[in-house]
Amino acid sequence: MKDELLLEMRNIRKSFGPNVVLDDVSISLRRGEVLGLIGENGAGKSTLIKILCGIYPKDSGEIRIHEKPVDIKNARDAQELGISTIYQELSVLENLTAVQNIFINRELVKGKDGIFSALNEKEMQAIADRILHQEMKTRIPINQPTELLSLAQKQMIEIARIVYADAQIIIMDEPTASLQAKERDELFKIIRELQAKGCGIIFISHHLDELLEICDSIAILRDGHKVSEGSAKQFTVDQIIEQMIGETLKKKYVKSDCKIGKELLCVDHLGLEGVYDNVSFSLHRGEVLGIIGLEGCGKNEVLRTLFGLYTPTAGRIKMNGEEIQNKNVKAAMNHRFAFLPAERKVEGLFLQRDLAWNMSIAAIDKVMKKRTIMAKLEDEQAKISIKQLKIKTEGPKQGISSLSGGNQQKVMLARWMMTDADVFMMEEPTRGIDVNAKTEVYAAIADCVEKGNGVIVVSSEEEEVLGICDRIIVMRNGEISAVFNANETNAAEIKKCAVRAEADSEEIAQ
Amino acid sequence: MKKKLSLNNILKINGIGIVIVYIAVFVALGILCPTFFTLTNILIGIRQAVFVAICSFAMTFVISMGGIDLSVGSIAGFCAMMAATMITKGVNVPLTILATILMGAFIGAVNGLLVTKLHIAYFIATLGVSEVLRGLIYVYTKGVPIYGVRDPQITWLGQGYVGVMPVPIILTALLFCLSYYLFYKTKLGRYAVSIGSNEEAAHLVGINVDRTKIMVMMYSGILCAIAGIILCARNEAATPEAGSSYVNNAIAATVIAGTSMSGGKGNMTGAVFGAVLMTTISNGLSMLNVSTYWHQVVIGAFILFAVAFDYFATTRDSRKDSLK
Repeated sequence: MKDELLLEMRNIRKSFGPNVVLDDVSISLRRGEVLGLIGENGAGKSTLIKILCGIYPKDSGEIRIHEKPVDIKNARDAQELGISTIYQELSVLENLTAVQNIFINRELVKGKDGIFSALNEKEMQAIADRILHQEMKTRIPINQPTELLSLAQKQMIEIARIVYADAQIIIMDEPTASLQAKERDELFKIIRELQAKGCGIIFISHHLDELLEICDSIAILRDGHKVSEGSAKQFTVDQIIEQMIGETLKKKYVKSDCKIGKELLCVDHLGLEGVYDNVSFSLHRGEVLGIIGLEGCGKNEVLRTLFGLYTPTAGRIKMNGEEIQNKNVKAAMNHRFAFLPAERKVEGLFLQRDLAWNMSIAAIDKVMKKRTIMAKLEDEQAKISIKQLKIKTEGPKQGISSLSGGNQQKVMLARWMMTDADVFMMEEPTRGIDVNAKTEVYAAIADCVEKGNGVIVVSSEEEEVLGICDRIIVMRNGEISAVFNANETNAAEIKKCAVRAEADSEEIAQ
Repeated sequence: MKKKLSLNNILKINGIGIVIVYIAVFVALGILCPTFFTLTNILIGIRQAVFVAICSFAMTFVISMGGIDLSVGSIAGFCAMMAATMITKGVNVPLTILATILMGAFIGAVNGLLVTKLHIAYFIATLGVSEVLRGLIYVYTKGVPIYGVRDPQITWLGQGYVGVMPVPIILTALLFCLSYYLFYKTKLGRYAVSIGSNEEAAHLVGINVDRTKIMVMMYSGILCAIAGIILCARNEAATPEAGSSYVNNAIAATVIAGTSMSGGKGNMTGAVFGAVLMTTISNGLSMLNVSTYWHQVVIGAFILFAVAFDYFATTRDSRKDSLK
């Protein structure tokens, strides 16, 4: 039974318009096997998974389950074939109990099934008790609202839901990203039990060491191709990183060669309890500083603390040698900070409004005379920015939502350039925008430092920080694990510091 | 770049639906009933609309900010009663007006504080305040109207004329200009609409979200207080149920003008048309001898029609794109 083939995806191909995101990718999964799916962001992992779950149709290729070809047209088909996914963002409903969550949309009823049939509470309780307490050996209370439970426990409920549905193929997408070490061990124990029951598991994680710990075999994707596969025992973390990065196409990075000036910002042993600690660095005029690390390493929170969104629990911030406190966004702006959030549409843009509105909002005083907003002045300012940053648009009155991602990001840059900010902090400045627009955003960043500003870029792409930054800080588990000069390091070295245990990275840092 | 004044471009203007509907209704009523087109008739129509119009300026502000103010009618009623009481007790008119407007601002501030500091949803907070105010009116008046507001200084506000223009219309026009200025030309308006469009983004560009919300709710309270004063001045009395129909009509006037219920998009000019349109229809139907029972049916159907029309007119292009 153990070696029986559960799932095969053969020669899968998928493209979005002219972009080929999966090219001839094949993977297979046996009963009782944990398969690690590895790749950088954009390598094609999630597309592959979405094809398996029926969210995207494949262009060509074949999916076989129990050695029979199947046609997965939608999420329901996938579910009926025993394919279940546990996403990073849990879908447990917080005000329902564990029992209600496990049986959601599969409620047991007394008598004939129908929307008005009475629920069979007793039976559901008994089954939930069996699955959660006997099979999974947890101590989760089954009749309390789940909002009081820990993240790991909620995840257990989600797994229980899958166990009840008798899923054979379980996909776990970054299941450990927000778990503590102890919770992670619990999860791994459950995975072992699912394995023993004969389920096949596809495990996705950026944490390579834990991936090697739990997986039997791995498959590595890069730029839409499968570049390597085999038993997990054959690989070391270093080898995997090498395969993941490979010789990626040289993207066009733009870097300013302006002279680095005097110190602008000095962060001294900054800490935010439970999130990050002991973060010290400085930023100079004309410098681009990169902060990189895995999700949850604290890199975004450092920026957000500097912008007054969190109150630090330790440490000091000095601007031009003087200690400052950014109690809120306004204070940070007065101290000449600017902040471009990662989720452009959620946190940055006013989507119903036009270009000019989106540009002038942070520096509205500059387009006012006395107490009145001058439409003409606003228009002129917007036109200057459009020209300066080469924004492709019909003009200042065009709705922001009809612009491309790259141009929207340039509008965000223009917004903050209109303020008198000295320190520009950007989260993932090129997320979700195409290659050409990326180059233009890089050029705009270079422009920005040439004016004597300092820029801090938080990114999860090694190539990007190597390409545009002067110095690179690597964070891991809320601490700085290494600092590099960009021209003295490489992607593999950065990756190692981001994913490895501290002992190793200290060695590298020396 | 020359703009072509084609039908396509006209239809793209935000809230244009309401203007077209208004003209259509106006012309239709004019044809059906020739006496409808006299200046007196038009002015009567507008004069009846002033209270809803003033409340809809407030509503446009609040709804564009992503909120709603269900207390507009009760604030107007409460302030009408307060003004009537003060005048009949012999307090002088300027002081009465000042105190009443301050009361409106205070109630607005309470709304704002409930929404920001206690995190109560607009709908609930303003509904609660509305009920409390209406209740207080009945407690104080025991259900009996306050008559005898006869000081000529105050009745002039409700009944006077400057030339052929009724004073309430002039006051409404002034309030419209003020609202228009605040909404389109000041930081307050800019911030309010930004909050309605994306509150998180508004916070991240340094906008003091709570303060803006409180100030907008206060402005809403002030406008409603003024509507209440004019109402009391026109009727020479304050009835306990005064203003109770304003909420629904003000919301209707606001949304048929093209203001988005989800915030981020408002049309102050359209609000005037929206408010006047409803009384125009009502007047027209009366002149055509249609039973008043049917007015509500027609107006309700018109609200649905106008909003649907506006939606189809303004989203034609994007829907065409999505079909490609």
